[in-house]
Amino acid sequence: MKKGEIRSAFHAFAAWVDGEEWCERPSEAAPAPQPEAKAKRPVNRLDRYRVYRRFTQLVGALFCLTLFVLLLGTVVSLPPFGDPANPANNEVSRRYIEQGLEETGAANLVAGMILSYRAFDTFGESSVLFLAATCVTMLLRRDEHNTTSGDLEEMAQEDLTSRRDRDIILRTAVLLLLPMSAVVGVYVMLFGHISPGGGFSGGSILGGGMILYAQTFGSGNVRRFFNEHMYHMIKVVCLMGYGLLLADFVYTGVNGLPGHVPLGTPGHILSGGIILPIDLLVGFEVTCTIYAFYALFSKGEL
Amino acid sequence: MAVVEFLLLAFLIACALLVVLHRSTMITILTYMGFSVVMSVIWLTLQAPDLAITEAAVGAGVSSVLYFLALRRIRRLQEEDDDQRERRREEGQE
Amino acid sequence: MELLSALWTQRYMVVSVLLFCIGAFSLVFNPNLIKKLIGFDLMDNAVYLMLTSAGYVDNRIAPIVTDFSAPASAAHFVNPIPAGLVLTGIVVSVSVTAFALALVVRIYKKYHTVYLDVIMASMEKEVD
Repeated sequence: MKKGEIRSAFHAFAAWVDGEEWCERPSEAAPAPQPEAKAKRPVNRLDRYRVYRRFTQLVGALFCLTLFVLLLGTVVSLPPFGDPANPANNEVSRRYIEQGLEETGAANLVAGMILSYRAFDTFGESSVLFLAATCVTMLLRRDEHNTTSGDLEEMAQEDLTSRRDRDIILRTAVLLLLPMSAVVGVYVMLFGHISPGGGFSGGSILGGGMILYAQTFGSGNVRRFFNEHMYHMIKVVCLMGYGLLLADFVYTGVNGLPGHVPLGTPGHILSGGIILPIDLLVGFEVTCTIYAFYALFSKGEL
Repeated sequence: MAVVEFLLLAFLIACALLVVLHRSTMITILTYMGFSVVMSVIWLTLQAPDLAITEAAVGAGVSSVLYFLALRRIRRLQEEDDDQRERRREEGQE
Repeated sequence: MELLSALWTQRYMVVSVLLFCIGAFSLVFNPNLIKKLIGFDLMDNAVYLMLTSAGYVDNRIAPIVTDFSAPASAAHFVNPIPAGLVLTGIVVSVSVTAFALALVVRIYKKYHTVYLDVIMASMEKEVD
């Protein structure tokens, strides 16, 4: 590819996101929408803030340099990197490694740790994800108060484009990539207790596939199999399922009873006790959340 | 191995500096994407494949997409502002 | 020379300190809100790098058991605890990024700019 073509490809991409022109500081930096606010005072506050900013940047550079020197001094006297005798490698990690396979049934000890020994921690993490999706919905959802005519025009334009002149290269590439991303996502989710991966990464891969599909074929096509009602259902059911499984697991464990979910043979797909169902539940929740982020940021609705 | 490690770490710092110092927000985000990819290779050298997969999917994929979408949304709002300003100026002239 | 070799022994820690300081500079002193957010993400990554490097042990492999006949020996695997902690952190940092970006979009809707100094100037104007 010639250099000019690369540049023009970059510019096409830049035009899609259109950050470049916007990143140049606007020449009339003062926001013009309220020109009638107060014209009496000639003091330009913006200039004052600029001087102030120069000053703070100087102080900031000094501050960061001091921070750097202090932290560097601390770091050099920390225990050496890669030493087996480090205090981080204490009896807790030894216990997780030596007893982990027997007690959780998961060959991937990290998955065994975060979804069995510390499942409560991961439950909090899923709740944070749920909360983030709720907050983004609250902030960016379109309703009659915050929708402008430009928004509607743009959306209609995009729908038309995605329906009529889809780019053939993009369409073919996505049609090839989409099955792969779906298979990889589900694989990573299902085999999280045997090989690297788990609910969060598998869910992100699936969600990325959905974003690709929506970007190429329009979100109307996604809405045929994934609408807002389903989104709420999946999210709530997955989180509550996780909570119930965890409650059962903790209750039986505390009372010294055998768990309801069998541990299975190590290394087989049906092993790991509650890890496999939790991985699946978390994976679907993450998929929903990530697609919801995309839909809310680009359209303001699911 | 030491050379590879050194190169990866140097690239990490170079990316971070470019992220902070470059003026264009678009290039900043693209560089941050590269930063995440190098980070996921570093997780592999630190023997943490779970982190590598998660960082590649979440850090390089999802979070860059979020940044791009927010940038695009802001740009769209900016265009509307420009239109309004133009309209007001025309009305003022008449 | 001694200092250099000490720095090389702690290379991941040193890099994470550098990243942390760069991110902190961007977070506190860059007027552009989106770049502030990216600085925040850099700081996140610095902390993750430091945690994971604390759990690394030379010549040991990732904590995935492949030999099921004998009980796993702690002398074969690196420490799984930092990896688990960081896995949680990465996902939480994406949630925080999404929430903060949504806030930035709303701020743009109200003040028509993402530059903090301009926002502060117009806020002062509102108070008058």
